[in-house]
Amino acid sequence: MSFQVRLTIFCMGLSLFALVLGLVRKGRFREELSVVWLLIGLTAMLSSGADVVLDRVAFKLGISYPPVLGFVMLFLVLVFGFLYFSVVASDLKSSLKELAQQTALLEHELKRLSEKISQR
Amino acid sequence: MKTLAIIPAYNEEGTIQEVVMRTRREIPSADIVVVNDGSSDNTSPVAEQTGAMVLNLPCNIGYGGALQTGFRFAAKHGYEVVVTIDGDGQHDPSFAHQLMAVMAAEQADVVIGSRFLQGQYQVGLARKLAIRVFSRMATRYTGTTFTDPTSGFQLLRRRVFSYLALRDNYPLDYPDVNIIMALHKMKFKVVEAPVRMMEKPGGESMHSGLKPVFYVMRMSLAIVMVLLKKV
Repeated sequence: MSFQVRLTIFCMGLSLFALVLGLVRKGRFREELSVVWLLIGLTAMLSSGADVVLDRVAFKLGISYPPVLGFVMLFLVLVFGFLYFSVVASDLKSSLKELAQQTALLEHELKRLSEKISQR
Repeated sequence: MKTLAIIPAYNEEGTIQEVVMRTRREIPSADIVVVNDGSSDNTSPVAEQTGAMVLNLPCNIGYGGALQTGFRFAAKHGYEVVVTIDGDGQHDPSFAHQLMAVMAAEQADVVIGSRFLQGQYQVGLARKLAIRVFSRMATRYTGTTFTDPTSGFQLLRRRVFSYLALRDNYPLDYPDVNIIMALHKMKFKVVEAPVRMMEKPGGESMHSGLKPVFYVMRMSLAIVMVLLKKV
């Protein structure tokens, strides 16, 4: 891999890392949810020099074209990232349901009590 | 028995008044609560004008979520039995007595009103096939014949709806075979009784496009979860 390519990949990873950090700093991205994206950015930065390791591992696994291994690993990282956020979304949906139901029940109770007070 | 009729409704301003009035006429001993599932039309004010109690969900959480809200209300206010009736006018409230009679005769905990036991209700081929497959699954698992597991016209005893009112014990979308199997696993007695239902007029079909495919996948997973989960 040429130096320019390594530098480009490193800068792309660094940009992602910095972007996510910036979003967290501005309060637009929750810290606990940003960890996955920071890890992806870090992985991208490290991958700029990973070809040395990748080439050896790929050949040992019988993969004749090492970049394929890189793509597979990237794909797995993204899949697990999406899985994590799907779990988060699922939790949020449950919480939203609970809140909506509580709101409806409380609103009804409040209305009933208000009517009772106004009848006195 | 202290009875509550739960009517979940989403954008049913055209039918809700009639549904409430018919329910009141056919089951005069029952209190009525309309659960407005985040409707964007006048479902809520129309329902309130009928004199029914109305629970207004701040956003649309789904048919199952709306029903569960009704269960929570019923559990909190000491009702012994609830009857669930759709707000779109599909269910004929006069058959609630049939459900009550079957509940008493068979000492059942849940009675599901089936539109297929006697009626001529027509459904599309894909839906018919899915209902048949999952009905057979429920029948094999419980030992009781089920023909209409997706029916929303149901009568439930307190011990059942109190359980279903808790946290994630009820699906957000449509209760189906998985609920029947889960209740059977909990040792509740679930039976069917014949009822009459009207064909749903107009509206977007929930069975169009790829929805039946997703429905089959989702239901298969839900059934596996019931079998795997500890009671």
